[in-house]
Amino acid sequence: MKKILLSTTAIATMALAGGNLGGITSFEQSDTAMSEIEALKARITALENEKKEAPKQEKSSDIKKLEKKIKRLNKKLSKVNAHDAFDNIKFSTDFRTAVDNINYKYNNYSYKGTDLSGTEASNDALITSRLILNMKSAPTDTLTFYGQLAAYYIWGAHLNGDEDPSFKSWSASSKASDTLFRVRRAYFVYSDDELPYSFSIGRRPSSDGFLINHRENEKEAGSPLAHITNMEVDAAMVKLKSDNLVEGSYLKLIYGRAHAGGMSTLYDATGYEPYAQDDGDVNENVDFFVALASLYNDGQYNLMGEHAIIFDTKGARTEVAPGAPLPDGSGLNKSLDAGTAQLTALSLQVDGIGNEINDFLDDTIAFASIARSAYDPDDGKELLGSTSERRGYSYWLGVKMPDMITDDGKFGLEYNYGTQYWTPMTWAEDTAIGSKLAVRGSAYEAYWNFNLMGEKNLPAQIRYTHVQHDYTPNIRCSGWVKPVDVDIESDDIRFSVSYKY
Amino acid sequence: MTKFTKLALAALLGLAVVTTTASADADKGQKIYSKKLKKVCGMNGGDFAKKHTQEEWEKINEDGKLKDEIKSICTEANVDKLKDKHLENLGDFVVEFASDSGNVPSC
Repeated sequence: MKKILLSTTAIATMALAGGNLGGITSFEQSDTAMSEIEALKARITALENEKKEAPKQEKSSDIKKLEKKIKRLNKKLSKVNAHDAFDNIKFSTDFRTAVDNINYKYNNYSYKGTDLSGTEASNDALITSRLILNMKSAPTDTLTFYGQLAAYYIWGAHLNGDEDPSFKSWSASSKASDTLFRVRRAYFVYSDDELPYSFSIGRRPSSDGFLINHRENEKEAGSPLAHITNMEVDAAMVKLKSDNLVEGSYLKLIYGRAHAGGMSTLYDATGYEPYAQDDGDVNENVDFFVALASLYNDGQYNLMGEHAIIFDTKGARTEVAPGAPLPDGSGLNKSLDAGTAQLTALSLQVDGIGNEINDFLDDTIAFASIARSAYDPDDGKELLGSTSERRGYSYWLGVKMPDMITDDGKFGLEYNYGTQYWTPMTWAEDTAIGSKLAVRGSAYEAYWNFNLMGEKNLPAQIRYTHVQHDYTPNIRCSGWVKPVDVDIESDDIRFSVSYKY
Repeated sequence: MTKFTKLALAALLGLAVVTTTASADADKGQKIYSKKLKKVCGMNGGDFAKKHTQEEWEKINEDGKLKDEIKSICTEANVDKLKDKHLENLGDFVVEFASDSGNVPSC
């Protein structure tokens, strides 16, 4: 550029001075020089314009390049995000501390011959903490793993899980005990949208199931109907999708084991027979089969049904009291496999009353559930103190509504009723005074779920449960116990705060 | 009730009424999807949210084009019935469960 300018200037100076440019006449010289000058001027102007526009063009192309680069980086970042998200186990925490104020009033109650009528028992402040580590991973679009490790402990407790023989793995993470971490859930699900079925194997999401999740302040319910099933159990499941036939419907078929019976030794305590089962039908495995169906679910109305069969459920021999010596001198009349239990429930949840009448009704959930239990003893055995089939019935009503005081806070009211032989399997229900759903009598409950300090990650609860037992309380596996008339009032006031993230 | 339980009750009651401003909520968005879109879209909420990355959904939300995007994915959806607050919550829901989020909703 500089060279052009210099040469142009020199030529122009010579021309204007009338200098001889190599034997050309002055007119000729003048014409030629002028035209050259004009050409050069034009060239200069063009170059100057180019110079002025050059930065603009350079800038806009730079921006375009940068934008392309950002786009490429964003794409890469999305891929990295997706890879990172699915490439490992994602953990989340649910850490709850609760204080339970418990009281039992025995108006009419005897235990092993001792009349406790007129007395009371209580615990002014049972303090517990429960730490749940939730795990989830999905290596592919069709395969997902879910897990929960839980420690649910009483402040200052002994390692009583080892000491209390009634403490079972089916409620290990749901009954406050010691500080050990236990496996609450661990299962994988294979589900392909192209296939009409999916399947899963592992320790199932069989606790905190449908409907009980409201009082447990859980957004999502576990798999079964909580009215009859609330246990931590291991099983295999096949889910048949029927959403194309009835909206939101599906059928789950589940087979699992609740009790591994009859193993005398894991090594050689009874000779070389590790893991071998005893002969005879005394302590058989307790397996179960469950058919669980979502019958209709449009997001507002959710109707579910379940039928569970429990094989070789524990009962007693006839004509000998449980725990008494056997007539043949072979030992005591311990519980043994005695028959089959069948549990059936039908539950309806209405999520939002009416159709956008107002926000209060939109955010209100109401539910109703009915259920039946039937215990049928084998010949020579008895279940629930009877040699013939005993049926129990129950219903459960509840409503959860906005508290109108806090953001997202909810008030809940529930009522349960159960007859004399009502015996569901809800022993992992998280109620310090024992499963209220298994009540043989009436249970009333009121709770308030809210976010402490308005923090979504600090859900809290104040809950009051009153249970009126009209018959022997059913709070653990005890099919050999006959429900008899009692009059016990149980109260539990719970305050809890959780950290969830 | 003992002093301890009374104290616990009083503290909780006191702290309960401390609130924050209501904001859009992915949980509510999930519920709205189940009620109003799942059937017409013919897919669950997870599959719907996976149609875009988090960044793409955020851009759609910022540009106020969520309604249009729902309509383009679910042609039969009556998007005019969706109120602004529905869209806000749905917007949060789709970002939360976008294709690169690693989260899986239950609906």
